[in-house]
Amino acid sequence: MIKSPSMMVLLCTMLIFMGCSRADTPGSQTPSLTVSELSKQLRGGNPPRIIYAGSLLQWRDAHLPASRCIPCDASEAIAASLPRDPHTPLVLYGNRTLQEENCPLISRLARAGKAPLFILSGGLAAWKKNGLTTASVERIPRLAIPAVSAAEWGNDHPGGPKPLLLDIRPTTPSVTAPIPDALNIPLSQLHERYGEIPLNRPVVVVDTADGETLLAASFLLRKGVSVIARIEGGIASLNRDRVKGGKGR
Amino acid sequence: MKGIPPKIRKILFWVFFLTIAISGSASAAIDCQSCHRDEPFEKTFAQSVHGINGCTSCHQGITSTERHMAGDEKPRLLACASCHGEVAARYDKSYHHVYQHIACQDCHRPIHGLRKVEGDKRVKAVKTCTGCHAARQYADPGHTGMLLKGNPDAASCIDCHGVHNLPAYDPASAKDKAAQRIEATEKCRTCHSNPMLAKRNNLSSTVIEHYGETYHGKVYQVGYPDLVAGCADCHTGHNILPPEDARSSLYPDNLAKRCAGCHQGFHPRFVRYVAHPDYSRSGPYPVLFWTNVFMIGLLVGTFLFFWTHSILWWRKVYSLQCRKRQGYLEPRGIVPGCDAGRQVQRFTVTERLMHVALILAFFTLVMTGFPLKYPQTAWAKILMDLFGGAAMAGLFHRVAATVLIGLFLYIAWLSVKFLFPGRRASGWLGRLFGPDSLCPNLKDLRDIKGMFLWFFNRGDMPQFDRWTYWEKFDFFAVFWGMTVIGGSGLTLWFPEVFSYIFPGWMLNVAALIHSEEAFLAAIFIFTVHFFNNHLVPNKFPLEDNIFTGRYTVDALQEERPLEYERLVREGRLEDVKRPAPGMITMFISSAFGLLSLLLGLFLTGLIFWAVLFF
Repeated sequence: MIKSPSMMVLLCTMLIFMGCSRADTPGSQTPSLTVSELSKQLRGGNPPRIIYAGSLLQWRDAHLPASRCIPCDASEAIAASLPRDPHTPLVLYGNRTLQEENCPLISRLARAGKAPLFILSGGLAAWKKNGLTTASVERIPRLAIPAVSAAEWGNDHPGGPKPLLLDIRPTTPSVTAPIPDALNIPLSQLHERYGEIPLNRPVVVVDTADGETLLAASFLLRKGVSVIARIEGGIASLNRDRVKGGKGR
Repeated sequence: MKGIPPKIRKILFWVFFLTIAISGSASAAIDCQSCHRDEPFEKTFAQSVHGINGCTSCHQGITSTERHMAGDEKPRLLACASCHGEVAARYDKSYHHVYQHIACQDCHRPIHGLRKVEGDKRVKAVKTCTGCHAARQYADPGHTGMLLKGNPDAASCIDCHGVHNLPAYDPASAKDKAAQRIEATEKCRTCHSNPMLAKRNNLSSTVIEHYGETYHGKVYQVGYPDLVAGCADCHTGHNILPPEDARSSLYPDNLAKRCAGCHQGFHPRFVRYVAHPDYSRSGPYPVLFWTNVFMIGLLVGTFLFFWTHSILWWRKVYSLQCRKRQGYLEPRGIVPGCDAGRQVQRFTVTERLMHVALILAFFTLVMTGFPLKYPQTAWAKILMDLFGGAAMAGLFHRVAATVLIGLFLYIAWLSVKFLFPGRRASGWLGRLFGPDSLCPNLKDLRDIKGMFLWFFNRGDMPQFDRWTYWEKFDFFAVFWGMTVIGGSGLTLWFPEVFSYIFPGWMLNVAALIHSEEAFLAAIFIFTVHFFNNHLVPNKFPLEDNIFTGRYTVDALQEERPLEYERLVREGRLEDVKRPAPGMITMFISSAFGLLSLLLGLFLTGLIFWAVLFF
């Protein structure tokens, strides 16, 4: 069939390229859905089930109408408890586009095989950017809780007990290196576990990149926890402050 | 009611409706406060800016006090948009709403005691923003710090970020990052190019203009801000302090960190790169100033000589042609029986292929490099897009430069072989200044003088051998250009590596030399070289022997009589005779040559347009 060696070389090269491109695309990647596609499906006869994969506190703030909240770190049992319905798509969304490596719920739901699974591209932010309405249930009003830079946090604690650093980052595999002396309660569990925070110590809240510290701090302050500050820039700025010097020499 | 006229009936209806509505609203307010007796509702709300409204104006969704008290009916979210629709529409697209779900009352607090802002709104805004954002990081240093100290020219948070329209950029989106960089740089530009503001605050009003003269500024202007540093990349967004302040991002130790955001593996003196170079002042940067003076002198001197040469040459040849047409001069004809119509070899296949490669590489360099020299022009953006964007154009530029460097090295090798054939050193000086060499000699000086005398009808046209003085200049111009443009180009290609050899400001020198030398090379080729070889009236529109490799014995005899005589004398004329090129060769040569000529002239037009109008 193959008459010349050059043709053989060409075919081999094409096969190698095809193999490479196939290897670049993980087979387990969950398909995504745009906001316009989702809103079209919601208007159709068989609207999808929508799950917000963030924390309950965030869900209370703002969420897509008719969506329920199952956090990313929800157990296998919660994922398995969803009813099986192969005809109704299941759409997961977060504040931004959900990443599989940061949200174990995606793989748990995929394994459970309850329904065709989709991720909302752009998440809640994209929904809002498209001017679509959101729902809110007992939103937590934000309070004026000042942010401090990582350097300030490290330097001065004039008088009184040393503040407790409350780390609200999720405990997903991608989050490594716990902060020494910090208490880690992921935001998704804060509404259940805030009782673990001592009331007799001032608290400083830190997040991955300062995204949700104001929400967490406002919630805790209303629960009687003496939150005094938040770390501006999140854990990234804390780490940056510890690293001396740049890449240039 | 039947006896009442319709007009009166209508008035009675509205009186009845309004009475019910007002009493309903008042009773709602009274009803609310009978339970909600907290301090803000009783003492401050009535005096607040919203005091004229009833509670249910904002807390909508309660239709029955009884149902509300029973817990069956809860108020909806605050309905600020029902009155502040235009602001709310803007805010709905802002970062705080989209990503942070911050509601109106989170900033406009305390919402039940909200008063009209007294004093400077911009100062009040700083205080509101730092309610959540780190004051020491954002408000104390830099612009806002100066504003709080009483300098009204200094920027408040809202001057850069807006009040309700902070764009909702997605940090994960490259497109959004580019938009954010443009927005930040444009905000800086607005104030820092204002001469009055600059004068009042003892600042330079030309920093923006001089940023535009750097690689960063040029790529920014040509439409690819995501590829280069904008203002905030070096100055940061908020920590804007004098460079002498150890907290400043421009403090030498800190500057290395800023540069390291994009550049890796550089020597500390890399940070001595001048990000806002002013080539017109000798004071702060004498090397830049004198390099600029030298390059301007080189450009003016070269073009003054060669453009004068070309104009005088054109006039002379054109007048000779006119006289021929008028019958005053005998046209040079082909003598029957002699071999004037036959062809001789002038260029080998390798030499012709090298010239084609040179042309293609040179056009690529011009079309990918000049958009950065004149980034403000519309054609610069079109050319960049044509090459697939600034990054891809940069790749084309480097590939073409590598081709030229390869040609340069190959010609250098051929030159060595020419001087030392068979590794024989004896007689190299004679070969260097001999008639087959491209090295200038004393005869060239005599020829230049003879040409000018001929231009002014003071003598005959000099008789040339294999290479004329302008061809030798073209050859050495390429060598000079390759050394200067190539050297400076390599410095700009690997700036971090060269920081181990030079201080950072040498990058500014390299950029200036690269840019001006490229201008010299391009305009020289497209005007002087094109004229000397193609546009001079007796060759117009194209001399194609560089592509066909051959020309007639007649042309050899007319243009290079000394070479002809030498070939006859040495008995080598028969050796170089060739049949005329085939039709396909001639067609391809003419088409490629003419297209190259037209493209070069078109690019010259674009460059002159940019020089004159930008």
